Amino acid sequence: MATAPTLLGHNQLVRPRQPGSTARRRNLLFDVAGISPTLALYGAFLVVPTLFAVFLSFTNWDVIGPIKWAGFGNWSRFFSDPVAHHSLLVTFELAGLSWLAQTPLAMVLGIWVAGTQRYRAVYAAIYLVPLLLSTAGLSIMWEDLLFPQYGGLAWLGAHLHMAFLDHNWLGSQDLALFTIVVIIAWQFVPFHTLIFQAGRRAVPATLYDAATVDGATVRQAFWHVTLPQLRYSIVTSSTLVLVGSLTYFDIIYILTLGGPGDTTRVLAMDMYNTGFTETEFGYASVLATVLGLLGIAVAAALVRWTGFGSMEGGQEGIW
Amino acid sequence: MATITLEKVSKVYPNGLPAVTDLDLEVAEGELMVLVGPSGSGKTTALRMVAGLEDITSGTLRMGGQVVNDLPPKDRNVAMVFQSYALYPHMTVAENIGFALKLRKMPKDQIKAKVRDAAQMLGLTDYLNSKPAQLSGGQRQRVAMGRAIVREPSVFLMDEPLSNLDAKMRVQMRAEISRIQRRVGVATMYVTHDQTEAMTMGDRVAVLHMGRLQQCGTPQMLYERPDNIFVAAFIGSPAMNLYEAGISSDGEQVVIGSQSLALPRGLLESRPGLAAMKGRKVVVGIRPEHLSDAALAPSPGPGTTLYADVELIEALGHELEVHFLIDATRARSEEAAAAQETADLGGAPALTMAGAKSEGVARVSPRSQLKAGSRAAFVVDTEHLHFFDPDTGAAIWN
Repeated sequence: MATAPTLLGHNQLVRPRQPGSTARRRNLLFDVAGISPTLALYGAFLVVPTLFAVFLSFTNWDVIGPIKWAGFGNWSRFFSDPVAHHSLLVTFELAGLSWLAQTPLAMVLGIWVAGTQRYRAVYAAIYLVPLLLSTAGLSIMWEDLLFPQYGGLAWLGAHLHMAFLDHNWLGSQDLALFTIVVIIAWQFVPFHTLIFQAGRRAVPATLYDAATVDGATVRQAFWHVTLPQLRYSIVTSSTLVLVGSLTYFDIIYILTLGGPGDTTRVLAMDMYNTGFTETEFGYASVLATVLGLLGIAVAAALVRWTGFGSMEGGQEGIW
Repeated sequence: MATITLEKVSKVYPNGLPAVTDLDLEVAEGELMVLVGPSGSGKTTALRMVAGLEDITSGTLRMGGQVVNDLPPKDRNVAMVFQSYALYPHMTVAENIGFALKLRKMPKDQIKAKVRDAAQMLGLTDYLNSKPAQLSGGQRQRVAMGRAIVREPSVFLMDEPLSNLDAKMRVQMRAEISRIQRRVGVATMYVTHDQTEAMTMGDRVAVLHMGRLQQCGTPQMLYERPDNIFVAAFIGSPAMNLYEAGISSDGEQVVIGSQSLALPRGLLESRPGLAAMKGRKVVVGIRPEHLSDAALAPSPGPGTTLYADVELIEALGHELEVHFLIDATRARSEEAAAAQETADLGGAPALTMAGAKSEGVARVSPRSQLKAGSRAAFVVDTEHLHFFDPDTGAAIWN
């Protein structure tokens, strides 16, 4: 029997497919056509540049001259480069400190904002302002605030008789990295608060009723209901914080340029300097590739360890 | 083990909305008390107040004689089964059942033993390590029951525990819950909007409407002697036929539309209050089973027959449900309407046709030859008529 023509290509997906049949070929064509716009964008802006960077990491190139094959030269340099190793360490420090600064705070705020009182919504709206600011703008604002002697914080310190506020926050070897962590947190905690707020709101109220009747105190309800129910929010937020911190660049570039000394010089900063200041694009590409691989590894590890990928459990038990 | 006593218990929400007003109720040890009513009747709020999940605005709540108004839920030793089961999704069945015991810091091996016993009783032994998401609706329901009984509570509360199950499972779990409740033997409050559940499960049934207790009694008592129009319309399926009517001035007949029925002596004696209604309007109630096909009756007495147009016949095998239109005005009290809405979910929508024809239902023998579209004569079992005051909605007895 001949196949009746259909208007919708979708309909053919449900038909049993015969290998090599016209229907199958037509399906494939339809599928490819359907995803091609996304595929093209993904390819042009992600796959091609990534592959190009990986390729460049095996070459020497100063942009002006020709690209020269360098084999594993740049890679062996990376493995014995104390500067890169230090940058890697700073990068990990920044990621770890950012996680410590952002995730617990965002969780507490998110749970709080998820409450039903109206003033919380107003507060949350004000609180989200940092998300709307450009990174460059807020960096300059913070620079002014933190400027020793003349900055806003120093002024406040003088008027409130809290001298400890007047510090060379960004110029001190001991404080610069922590200061950067605080500024990044200021920028991103509101966003992560949103994640936790949504997560908390998705927890059915009856679970708390059940826990209350079961005899749980507020703290026990938090440990046994809220925290496990926020598991996927925690994974999502943590992944974004950690992977985001690995490639964090702009605030550092504007505020410290990696200094003082090399205390805030993260790998991304190193990569930028190597590429655009020293025009060693081959070696810069090694650093870029390392960053990319690290990001993928961290994300994959989080997803794997937490069972996020399979999403079993969840809230399906409720209904 | 404890009795539950509510004395003039009221709940007014912060926005001024009264949810429950002056509720008096006593649930004895081992008794299963069903709170039934349409949505918004305050039954769940009443239950939540007993659980301690909702503050009591005024009145006294006692458990085993002790006033517990201000006692936090964990000190009331109540167990509750929720409509949505509210199982902890991240815990296994065993962890769910044992959670309350774990919070009480009971030793692990004891918890294990208790959980095992409960699981055995509920047929959940093979699922102890499963997560709720992997269970069927009926199994989740059993886990919720297990979680409640494992604690050996002194009071058992259930909030529409069957409403998320399909019809077949509901009938099965209905029996199972009754069995478990009898076995556990504690005072139980069971909330439902389903009058069938209320009738089949309750030792006693409390009917609530608009936050007020309408009547409390055994299912049979509510069915046979409803205190008011609301209870009459709410209890029973198909629902009682309620029409506006009048008592003749000699007090010997009830006039329904253009027809009338003779009031038998027995009826007048058992309802002395009817004597005061001579020449006045009443609402008359006729249960569907008190109407039978006149063609099958040997010799209907005078003044026992009502005529109506058959609209639709539903054959149920053991009986026929005959939907008819009768020349009368359906009692249009707000309460009857609210009760109808919830009680008679399967029934046809109430239509008020031109010429004041009102619908009704009769349950007749399957031998009846009645056909849709034909004119039928129904013999009315007049001994079982119900009468209500149209102004107050109260049943007329004394």
